[in-house]
Amino acid sequence: MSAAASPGSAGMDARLQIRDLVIRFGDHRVVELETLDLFEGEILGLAGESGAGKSLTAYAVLGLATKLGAQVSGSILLEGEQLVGRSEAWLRGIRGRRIAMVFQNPVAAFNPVFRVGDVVRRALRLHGLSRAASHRRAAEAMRGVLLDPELLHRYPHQLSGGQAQRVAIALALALGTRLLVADEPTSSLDVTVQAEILQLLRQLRDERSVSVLFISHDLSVLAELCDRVAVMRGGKLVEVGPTGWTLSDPREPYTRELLDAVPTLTVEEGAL
Amino acid sequence: MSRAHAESQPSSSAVAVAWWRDNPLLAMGSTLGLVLLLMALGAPLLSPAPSDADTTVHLEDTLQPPSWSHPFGTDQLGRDLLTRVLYGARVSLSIAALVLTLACLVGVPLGIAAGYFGGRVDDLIMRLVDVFLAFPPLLLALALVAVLTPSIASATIALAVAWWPWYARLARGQASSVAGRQLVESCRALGLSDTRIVFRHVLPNAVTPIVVQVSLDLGGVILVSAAMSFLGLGAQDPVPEWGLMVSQGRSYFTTHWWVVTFPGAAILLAAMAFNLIGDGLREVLDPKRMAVSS
Repeated sequence: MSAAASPGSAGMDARLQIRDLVIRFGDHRVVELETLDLFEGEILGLAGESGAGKSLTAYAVLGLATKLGAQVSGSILLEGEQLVGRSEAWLRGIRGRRIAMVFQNPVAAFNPVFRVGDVVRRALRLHGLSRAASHRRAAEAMRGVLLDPELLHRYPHQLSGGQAQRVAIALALALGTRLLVADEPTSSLDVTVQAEILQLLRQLRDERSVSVLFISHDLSVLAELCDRVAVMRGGKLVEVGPTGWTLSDPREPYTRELLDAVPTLTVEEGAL
Repeated sequence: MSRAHAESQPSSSAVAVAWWRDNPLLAMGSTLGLVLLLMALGAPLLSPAPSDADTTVHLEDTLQPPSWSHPFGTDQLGRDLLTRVLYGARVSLSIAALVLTLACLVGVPLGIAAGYFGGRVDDLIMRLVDVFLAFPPLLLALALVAVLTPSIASATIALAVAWWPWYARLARGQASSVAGRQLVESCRALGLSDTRIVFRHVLPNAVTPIVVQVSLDLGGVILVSAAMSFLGLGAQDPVPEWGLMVSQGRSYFTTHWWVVTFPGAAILLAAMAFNLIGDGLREVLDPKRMAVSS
């Protein structure tokens, strides 16, 4: 359909381009995004309070929003290819292989009745690998996220949250994904594990030029990780810009409000 | 005391002892179930007069009390009751197995579809289920058989029709709880189709409660099918069905107690065996209990 070249993406190629995206439930317009780009090897943060439409946008990128009963119009281009309005079968071929998603609760994302390795290998075989190749690729991917391939023999509940999240990321990489949609991937993890996952994402960006759409309500995580941050409110984009600008010197009052809402820890002198 | 057993090579008898101690319900139920199974399988070898399960009658031997030649006595047509009780295990177990297989084949896919897809599909299927559940199963089955001709086959069909809604409801609950979990989203995000998600991920998560329910219901179906035969709407003479035997012997009860007692005891045994197995399995497969013991 309309493959309008985006202005302003000087030098870098856009991996994901969102134009005039409208997601509706009946007459209720939940998300209206005019322009949002994600470049190669970039981590774009998507911030905003609960209900701002962050997750729905992520689902729309994977072509899953319609599964939730929403109507999606506008255009989402993945490396120049239109995703909106495509058939379910075509989208299934894209999911996992070209766009992968990482979820908030990594343990719950795996089926409790199977070993994680079975899940990983099955996904690889679903996308066309042979049995032997799927074993090899799964083990490689585990090493790629600094995990012992032996962990593939475990059941999800035998993994820690951080390990499970790494396996989920490993699976995405094993499929050759270069666009990772991460929906609050660190919110359920403790702070040290969270830092490890963030480090892993940075490494993937630098070494494999993976692009990450990182959804979080945690501004400190966004500030630490992202190249650029987009702030959403009530389904609309409030502000987009390099992380340093957006979060340290916000132009929009709403971003300021969000920042002010972050609880800060101050220790009074002599209190201890 | 038990530690000595655990440290030595665990002999099969020690395993059996541990099993009885840890889960006496299941152990007792399975033992009874095994007895029933042996009765059913070994009927031709164990029974004194296999042909008595069929059309043979011995009018010179009617209503003989238990003796060495007829351990359970004989019925009003002179047939050996031990033989008929043993063959009755075959009849009852196969009816129960067939009814529950049919009920699962119909109920589980419908229930899973309802729970997984939700919305209109869910409404349509579950309202239908509600209609069926509005009738007590025995009453529904009786009404159906009254329309068909009374026989084992129609009793089986009628019971399956009365039983599938329970499985639909059970499977729906399991499927909808799995469908709400993140794993379904993550499967979709990996490019899995709905069919694949249902068969590979939703179904395995629904199996445990269904297995428990099947083992509990085996007893229930045996009981209800016996009741139908008792009322003349199930098996017909000369089929050695326990309910039918009780029904035929009931007029002789005050003078010839054995004609009713032995088939009745068999029904009791079967119903108890599967209830114990079901309760025992529920305990073993309960994830909460497993979490405590591991």
